[in-house]
Amino acid sequence: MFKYLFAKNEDIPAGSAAVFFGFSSIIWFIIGTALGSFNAAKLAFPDFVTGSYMFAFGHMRQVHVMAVIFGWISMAFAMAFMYITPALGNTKLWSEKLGIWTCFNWNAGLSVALCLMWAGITSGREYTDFPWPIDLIILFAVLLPLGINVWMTIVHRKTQGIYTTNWFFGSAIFMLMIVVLVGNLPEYFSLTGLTEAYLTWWHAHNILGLWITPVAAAIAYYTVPKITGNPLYSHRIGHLHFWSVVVFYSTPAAHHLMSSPLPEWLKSFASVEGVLILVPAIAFVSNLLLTMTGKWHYFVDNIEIRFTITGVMLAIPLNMQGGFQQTRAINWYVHGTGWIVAHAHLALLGFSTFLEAAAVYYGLQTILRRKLYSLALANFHFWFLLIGFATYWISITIAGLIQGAAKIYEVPYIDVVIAEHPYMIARWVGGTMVFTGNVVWLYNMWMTARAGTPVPVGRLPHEIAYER
Amino acid sequence: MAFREYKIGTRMFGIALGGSMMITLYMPSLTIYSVGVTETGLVKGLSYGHNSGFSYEDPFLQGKGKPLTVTIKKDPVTGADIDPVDAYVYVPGTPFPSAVRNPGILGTEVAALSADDGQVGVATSDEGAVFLVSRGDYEGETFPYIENASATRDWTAAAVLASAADTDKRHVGSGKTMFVREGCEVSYAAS
Repeated sequence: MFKYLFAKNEDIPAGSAAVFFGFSSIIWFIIGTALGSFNAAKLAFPDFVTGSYMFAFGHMRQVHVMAVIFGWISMAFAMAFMYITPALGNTKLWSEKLGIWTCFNWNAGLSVALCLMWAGITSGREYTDFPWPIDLIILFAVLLPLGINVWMTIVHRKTQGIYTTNWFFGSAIFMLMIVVLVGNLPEYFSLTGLTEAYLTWWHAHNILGLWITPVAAAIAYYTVPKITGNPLYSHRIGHLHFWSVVVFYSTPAAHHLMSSPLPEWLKSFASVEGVLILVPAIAFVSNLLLTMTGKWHYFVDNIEIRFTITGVMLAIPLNMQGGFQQTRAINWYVHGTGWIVAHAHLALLGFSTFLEAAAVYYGLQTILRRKLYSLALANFHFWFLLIGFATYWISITIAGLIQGAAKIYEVPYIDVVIAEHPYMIARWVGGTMVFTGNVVWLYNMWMTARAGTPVPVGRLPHEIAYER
Repeated sequence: MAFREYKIGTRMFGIALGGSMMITLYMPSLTIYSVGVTETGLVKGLSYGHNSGFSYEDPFLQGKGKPLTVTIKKDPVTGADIDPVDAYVYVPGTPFPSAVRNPGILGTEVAALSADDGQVGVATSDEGAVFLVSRGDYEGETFPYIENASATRDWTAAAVLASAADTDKRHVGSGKTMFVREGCEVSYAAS
């Protein structure tokens, strides 16, 4: 990477930024899931690594969260931007050099920020844990250059229209910048109390709703038609998805604070809008599954489609939960329990991660023009990720229901701890499986780059996956 | 066909996102601003102080620039026994919380009581101050308000700290902001 930082733009091979982002994202996924596994072990085995505040759960939990969101997920998104945006515009990335600088700034900045946070230097606000000077650096040294590269690539496209994926890509970066800027207002101006609580969750909700969910979905709009050869089932439904995300997903932030003294009209409005999130969800899932018509054998044969369609199908329970768990009656029961933690992992480790993994698999093979080193290792990765995630999700969902019942019936806290202990062990087992799968993934992709069979000119990697 | 520029779509996107911001940010701010703060809100605001995380005053989150919550059992001036009351002690240089800097956010009634009966307007960060949460009447109804005890009772920060035992002093946020946010206050003596 370093040799390209000061090279001329035209001397940098096309796709370099995407490759660097791709490998960065896998490495951050390993770091993030290692931290997650470590934290889960502390919950399962309370005597595991004690005596140092640096390794206390309270110090490490948010490092895990931010490493996964801004390391793995967002860098996988950046990789997708770097190769899908130009591919859909039938052009080159506007500036490979800017992309490589963005990748460098991102990795360096995130490393520093996470170390500071690990040391306890934090805003103390969930999902905006970084101190505000670092938030501003992220905004202007990472997101703005990333946005400029994507927007200028779209502007300089050689196609007449803009495909749905690029609608999402271009708008999501803009919306993320607004969300980061506004969501950190309590830090800039020392806002406290209800205002701080609301803006914290306004930010957190919109990070999920206007960044992670739409970009992950947009990736699927590219990978499924590209690999299956089927055109997208309906561009109109894709447009419905886009507009309903902007209108319905940007408004229910208050549903995260249903028991707070926020204005009643705001909570009611948020609850209704929260149910309406099912509109983009149904549009997305139905569009992608119908695009698969006649090509369902790819779900078995092709690793990228298997990842993608698994992610698409995980969107069904995700949005069913999301639509209804924030209504007052259900929220009263599940708020503040492991159910919500399980739901968050369904969104980030389930739905979103599977879609991004497909983008990284497909992107690295396509850009490097190398056939996947080992399909067996890719299958190992898929199943460890899926079984590990499912173990985690189901166990914590059950633990959350136990906690909810205990909350309402005022069961002594220690009894709850004892009752949920088996599920905490299952959580650790599931998380560790995910981590193990990711280590194998990195090895597989590294070997793909170093020793993968070259893909002949005019062919695509998935077309020769089973050719020796 | 001509190269599409998406002018209408771009404008619609601006309207949709702008409308969302207006509904979820601007309109709630009007409602929240017009509602009076509760006693719990005042206690939290005064005990947490101005800084709730990273700040210039306390970049390493060591509890600098944070107020102390002191349970007072004797009058700091006369030494006479009084009913225990929590005082929020801001030693000189400690930044005041938003509730003192901008009483307008407390709601009409609480702001008026805090300004008139509580005399919060005369408190300065350079000199420090001791605040109490008191109750008073405004147009026939009782409301909580912030009382600047340094002005109304001559309770200085130094006198209050000298009159109370260490076990009655609690320092919210000393190095453990996240835990404190869950309600687990760290004792001043321990920190």
